[in-house]
Amino acid sequence: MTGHVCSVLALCVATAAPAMAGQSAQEAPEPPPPVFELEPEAYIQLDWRSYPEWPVSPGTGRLEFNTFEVRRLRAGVNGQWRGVQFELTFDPQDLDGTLVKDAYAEFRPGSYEIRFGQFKPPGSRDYGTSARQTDFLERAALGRALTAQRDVGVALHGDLGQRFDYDVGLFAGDNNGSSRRSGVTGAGRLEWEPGSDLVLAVYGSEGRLAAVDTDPENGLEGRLSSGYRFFENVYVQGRRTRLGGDVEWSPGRWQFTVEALRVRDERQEQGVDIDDLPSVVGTGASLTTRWRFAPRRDVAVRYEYLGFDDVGPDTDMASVRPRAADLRARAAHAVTFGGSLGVTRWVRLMGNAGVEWFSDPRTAPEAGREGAYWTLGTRLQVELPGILGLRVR
Amino acid sequence: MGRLSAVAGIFVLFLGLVSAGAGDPQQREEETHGRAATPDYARVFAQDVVKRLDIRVTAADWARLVADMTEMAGGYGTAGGGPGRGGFNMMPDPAGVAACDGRVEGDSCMFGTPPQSGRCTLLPMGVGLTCTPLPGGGNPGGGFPGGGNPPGGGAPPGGGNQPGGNVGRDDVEFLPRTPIYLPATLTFDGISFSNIGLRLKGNSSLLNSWRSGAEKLPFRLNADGLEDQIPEVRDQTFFGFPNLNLTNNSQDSSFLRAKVVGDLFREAGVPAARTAFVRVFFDRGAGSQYLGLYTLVEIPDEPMLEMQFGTENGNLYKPNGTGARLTVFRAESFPKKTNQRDEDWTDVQDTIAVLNESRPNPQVWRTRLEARFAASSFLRWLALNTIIGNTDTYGGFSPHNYWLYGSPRHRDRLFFIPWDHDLSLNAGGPGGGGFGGAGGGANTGLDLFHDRVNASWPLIRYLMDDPVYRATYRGYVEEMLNTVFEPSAVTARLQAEYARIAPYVVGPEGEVPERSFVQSPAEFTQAVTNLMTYVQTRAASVRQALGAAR
Repeated sequence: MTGHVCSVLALCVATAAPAMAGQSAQEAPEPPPPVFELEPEAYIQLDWRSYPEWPVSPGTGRLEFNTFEVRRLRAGVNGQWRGVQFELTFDPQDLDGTLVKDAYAEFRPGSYEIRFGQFKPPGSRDYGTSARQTDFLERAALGRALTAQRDVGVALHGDLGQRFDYDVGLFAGDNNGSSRRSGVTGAGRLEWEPGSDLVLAVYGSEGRLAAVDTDPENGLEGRLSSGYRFFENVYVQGRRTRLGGDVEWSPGRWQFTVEALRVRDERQEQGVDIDDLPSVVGTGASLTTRWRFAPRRDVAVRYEYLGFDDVGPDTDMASVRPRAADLRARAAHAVTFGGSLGVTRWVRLMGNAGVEWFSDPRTAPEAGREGAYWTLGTRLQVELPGILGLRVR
Repeated sequence: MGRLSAVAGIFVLFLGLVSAGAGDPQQREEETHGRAATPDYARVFAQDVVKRLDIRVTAADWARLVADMTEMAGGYGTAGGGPGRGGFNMMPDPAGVAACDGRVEGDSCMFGTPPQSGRCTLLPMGVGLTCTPLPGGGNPGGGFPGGGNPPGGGAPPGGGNQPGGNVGRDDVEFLPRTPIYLPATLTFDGISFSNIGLRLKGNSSLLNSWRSGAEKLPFRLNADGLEDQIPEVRDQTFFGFPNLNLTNNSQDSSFLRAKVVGDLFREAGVPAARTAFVRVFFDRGAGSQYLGLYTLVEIPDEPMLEMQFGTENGNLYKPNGTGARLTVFRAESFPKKTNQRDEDWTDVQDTIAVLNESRPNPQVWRTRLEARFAASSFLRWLALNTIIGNTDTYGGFSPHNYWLYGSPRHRDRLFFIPWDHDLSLNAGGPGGGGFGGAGGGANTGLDLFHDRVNASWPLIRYLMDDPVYRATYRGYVEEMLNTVFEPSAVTARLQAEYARIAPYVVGPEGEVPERSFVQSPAEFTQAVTNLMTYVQTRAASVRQALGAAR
């Protein structure tokens, strides 16, 4: 460590930090990058929800969120060592049941970056947004139910000219730790930024699925942001193909986001005589408008759709069985109103009011009752203040 | 902007207050009462002790139950003999027995002068059928199509999921509708459960008990069965169990059949419900009294399906009526217990179609059948059921007392789940003891390979006609005679169970004679002795029949 300066930096309150950084940029030469940096990060999300008039008990498999729960308890570190960036985060609370969230290293050998380890594969914009920065308590349904989620792999990221970004990767699956995980999956995303406030993207992935008779169903399941499951997963085998796209337009304090995603899971050899069944298709879409009327204060509204059906002909024997030839088509719509108030840089209050409709009354929370189902929710999010960090120069 | 901030803050605060105030109102211990509670088999189905279960209902509710049942089945105690076992000891009316000659349990019948219509019900101890007058119609009988069942009383075709269909009525097939639920308070292991749904259940056992005026009636417990009237009980369970049966053993003076036979099936690798003995204390608003020793039986719903099949997402049926013979598909014979809102019966339809199709190439047929139906599991059941001697099931008195489950973890193959064994360990039956409606006495004329069973029971007939299945069946019989039904082991089991329950059947803590189906300690002891003798002689008879069939 001779010749190196070790220091533990106490960082200032974040609101003052940009000004200080601006001053130092003007008055002093830029210091050499540190050899080693380590910064702890953590946050907790406490959620309160209510389901007025819902005849389903919260906190069960059918309605996964409880009336109060620690939604996330995330802790970890990020930093860099000799130009190699890394991140390691854990969460014992998240619903996916995986303790390790991000665990990757990233380096830049040229005009591109290579990342390896466990991380989010290139794909959905909604899912790519950090859970502590989402506009609503829960992601859009397509971001939770359809998109490829964290897995182990390697990805390449770079620019194509001034306006295009690419991100491609190869992963061991599409949701590490989940019973719905596919096998080896390739994923990619291409972004086009025609203007400073507009981003358009397309993305997709393809992986292999293998159903094991004695294991749980490995298909996707349908839930909206209330956490209510209206489509149970089925056995799938063959290819899992995703194709999606999104647009984000951010004029001034407004932000408009549109995203759509379609997933097709084959059901090879799942018929009673080991014949192929029609593939199951999940389709999701969301449209979000956000108005940031003050720093760290915004209101937003989101419409979303999520539906599932098989590609075979409809019959009068449609079923919810996990190997039904004719899966009963089910879809749901939701509108969610949200408000977010950043009390300080580390404390955020969020409130959501959502209403959901289900296309098949038989799978509605109250079977047979059509109509709207309201959900109310509040979140208190507290982050570890960014005052501790280790830098070795 | 400041005003907007204030509005947003109020909005968030408002939602927070609303959310916090609208939490789960039920305030009950989720581990014991909640839907997500892990089914506590060790506690509820304790095998080494006989636990106490207290049930309390109000006098007004009990009066409602009596009125409801009277409307459907006639007056309480109208068969004479008074309360207790008196009604069971009466001699059956020969005209009633004659009216059910050639019929199966549940068939419509008519007898007497002036003619009275009714249903064929089992005589005590399952020794035959007699015509029992009923005020209303019932479910369709179990007769073979075209076999001469008088019309009437059937559930509407395709009514399995419709109001008025036979959903939920499968355990009261002879009644025109499901008896009403009462709110009951249960206490077990020092923990109380409020507003548990309690109703009467059973077929012949219920009718015989009711008509004899017995207080010890068979019950169904549905922990959230009253959720429509009492929303607080929504998703309530009893230590993780949504439904349970309390079997009164009215036709089994030994009390042991339902318990022991279920255990034997599970040991043989056949999916079957768990059971345990419980002492039931009942309070109808006039103080608690010991009603008697019951057998607590789990229902093949979520916990059992999860435990024995790994998942409860498949189709579960409780077949009854003509279609339950599996000769031809009839939706009304297959009320669904899961996925009830689907119109999908393809698994049963498909199985019945393949079972009954021509078999020019037996291997192809077997492959097709086994893709749809767990034939090996069924043959294991058939082997042990035949050894045991049980005619109140498929192939016997009536096409009932079984469930079918299309297990997703087995590619949706249908599994045969036997049910209701309180008349088993008894080779007696129509014709005197053979399986399938013919045969000799308890241990004579044993039709081990079901050669006298006709095609009205295709699951037995066609499988036994197939040389491969026949050989498999034979192998299972041999195996079980040496393992599960090894006589000394079964006898030891019967003795152990007898020792465990005897203090609660007879003696100071035993059943009260006026509420008991057992009239004396000697009757109880003799019934157990007879059972042990039966096991010995039955095993010998099966071995003899097996040797003769070589």
